[in-house]
Amino acid sequence: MLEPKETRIIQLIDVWKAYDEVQALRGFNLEIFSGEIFGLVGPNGAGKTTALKIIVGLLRMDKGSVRIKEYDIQKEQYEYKRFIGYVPEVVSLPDYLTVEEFLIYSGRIRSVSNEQIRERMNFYLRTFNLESKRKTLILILSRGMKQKVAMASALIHDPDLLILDEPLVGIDPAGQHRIKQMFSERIKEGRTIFVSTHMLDTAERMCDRVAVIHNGRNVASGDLKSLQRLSKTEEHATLEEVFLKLTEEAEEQMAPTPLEEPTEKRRRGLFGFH
Amino acid sequence: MGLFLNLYKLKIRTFLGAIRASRLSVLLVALYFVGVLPGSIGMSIAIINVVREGIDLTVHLDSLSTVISGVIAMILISSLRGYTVFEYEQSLIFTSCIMPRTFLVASLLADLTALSFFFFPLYLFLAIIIISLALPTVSASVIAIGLLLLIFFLFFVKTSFSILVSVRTDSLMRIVTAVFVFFLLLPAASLGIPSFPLEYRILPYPSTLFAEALIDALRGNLPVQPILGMISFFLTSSVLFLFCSKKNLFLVAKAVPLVSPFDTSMRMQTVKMGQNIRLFSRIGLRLSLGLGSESLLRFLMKKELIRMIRDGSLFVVLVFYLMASIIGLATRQASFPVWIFVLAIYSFIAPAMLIGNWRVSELDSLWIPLTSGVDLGYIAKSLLYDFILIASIVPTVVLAILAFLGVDPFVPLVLVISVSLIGCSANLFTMMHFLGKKRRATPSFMIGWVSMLLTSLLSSPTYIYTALSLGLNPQISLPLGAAILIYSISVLWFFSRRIERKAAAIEI
Repeated sequence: MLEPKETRIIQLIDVWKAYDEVQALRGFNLEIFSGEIFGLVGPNGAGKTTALKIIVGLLRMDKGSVRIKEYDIQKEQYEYKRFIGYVPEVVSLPDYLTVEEFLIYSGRIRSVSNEQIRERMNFYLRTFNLESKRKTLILILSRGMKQKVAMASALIHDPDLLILDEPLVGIDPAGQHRIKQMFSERIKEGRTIFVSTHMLDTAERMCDRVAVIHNGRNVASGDLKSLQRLSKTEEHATLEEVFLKLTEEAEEQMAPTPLEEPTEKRRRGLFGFH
Repeated sequence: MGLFLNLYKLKIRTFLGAIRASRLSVLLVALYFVGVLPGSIGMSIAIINVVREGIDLTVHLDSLSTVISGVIAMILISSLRGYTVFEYEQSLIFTSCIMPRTFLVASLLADLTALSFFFFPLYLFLAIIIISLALPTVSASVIAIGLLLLIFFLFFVKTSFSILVSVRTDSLMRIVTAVFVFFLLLPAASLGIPSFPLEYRILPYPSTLFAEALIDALRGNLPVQPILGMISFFLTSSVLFLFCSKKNLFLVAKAVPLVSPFDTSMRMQTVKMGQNIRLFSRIGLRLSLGLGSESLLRFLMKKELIRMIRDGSLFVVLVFYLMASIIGLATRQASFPVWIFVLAIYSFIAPAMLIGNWRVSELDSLWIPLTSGVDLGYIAKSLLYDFILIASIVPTVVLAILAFLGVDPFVPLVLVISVSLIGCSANLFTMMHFLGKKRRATPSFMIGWVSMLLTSLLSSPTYIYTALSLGLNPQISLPLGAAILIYSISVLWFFSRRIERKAAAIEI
């Protein structure tokens, strides 16, 4: 496991977000450093996707602050996105474009030069075994292939930070292997990967550190050892066992109430910010 | 029997479920009934008057037979797709222990039930005729029996032909179907060419037999021969159906998405859009999005143009204005300018349709530009310019052709360009507004109503000008037209800045 480096890439401070009658995030805090694969794990409806959507600019937070590198995303809404590549959990692409056209479109809207688009497009089409689908309409592709095309699109501008929501779901084993290989190559180059996932065994093997989100709060974050200590589980406890312990404890201590007002006590989270 | 009943109930529930998928679906069904009822009542009154005036109905035998033959031909042509089932049927029912025949009979009865639901005005139509003409019970029964025989005949033929097309790997069934359709429609030529030797009245076609039975019953006669003929067609088609229902259609049936014309939910719109893309992309792939040196705005405009070609939006606009031009040419001597009225409607609908299609195609993939860091003002501008181009240039070309053929194009041109500028900007502004924070759950039909209301309010000066200018001399009409265009450009300018701001506030 690589040691977390000093440069802070993502910082969320006291982020609150509500949808109509559901409080999705309640003073959520998070810090991610360059050169690490960071995992966000949590039960259904815990607020993982909301947190990711706020970071990539698909949702606006009600309260709090988010910094990506040196950018405050509320003040500089566009600039920071140059450094980000994002793939959502449910990938929906423009069905009327071919794979090649879509990757060209992705590159052009990210101000990538034509030469770089051509070079990277060819590389990722080879990497994800999609060369034969270059001229195929996206409409015709299977779900797994669309996922791979979305991944290629997220990498077309060679971003410093990849933000992925359930990146391996729906992808065949060979594809998963290639993606994991690509992750480790990027980490070696000092880039950062932030994944949200339900797959705890994958998170345990793949991630340097994880954060456990429950009811919109960061219950705990750190590497497996520190989470074992926090959850008071055995030394050899798996991430799954740690996760269950932490979420059970959080459940007991925090009865969820709809649309809570942010308070100082709640802002600190259960275990404090790691 | 239990399995059969369960399947029948499931199919009916699925059908009704599609109607309940959105509030607009229920509204559309209500509109369908409200819209069709006056027509049915009007038609039945017209037929009653014809019968009461003692006009010989047999002179209409060939026309009626042609219409019925047309329906039969359409059904035969539709069977060329092969036997189709819904995706849920393939995964849920075909994997159970049900027999093909049980499935077919349950499907047939469910389809009949569904059809009865939508053919409700037909029953009213027949009931009004039977009661008003005080037809004897025998005649009323003959009409009902004749209709039932025809419906079952059509269902049996459609199902059997579809199965045979699916089962046979060669093109024999397609050739047979084409030959049937050809001979079925051939006598229709006698309507246009009086000397044509083949007439429906001399041929024992199912369409002729039903038309004869109907006319005889309306005249109070007992149509024994036509009914016997129809029974023989019914029995033949039943035997064919029994033969085909033995085939294992589960292996050859083609799955299609469950698409109801009355289901207007976003999910269904996306499915329908997918079908359009499959159809139109064959032509649209000739124009492609490559690595060029054009500006980002031009690149995005090209991408939107490609979308409009491949999802069929451009085709619909072309058809709109082609129809308008045909009406224009056909009615250019008429005192009432029908085609200006048609243009007024089309120019109002086209922007709403274009922007509605954009929403269906792009809403789910908006995360791509939103997370890319591209200035969303570019996206908004490229959309607006493309919509205006399509909504204005297509009719302008049509009007230029009409001008060449001697139609004065000035007023229609002002009308089309003005309403396009206003309609595109107002529709896009409303759409962007509803994509903003906490507004995404608004039903699409509500957005449509708001857009149309805003467009109609802002376009009212244009419509008033169009109506007035028909009686004005060109010296007044020309400057007024120019003023309307300046007004429209001001509306566009007002909205375009706001659209860019709204685009920056999109949340998905």
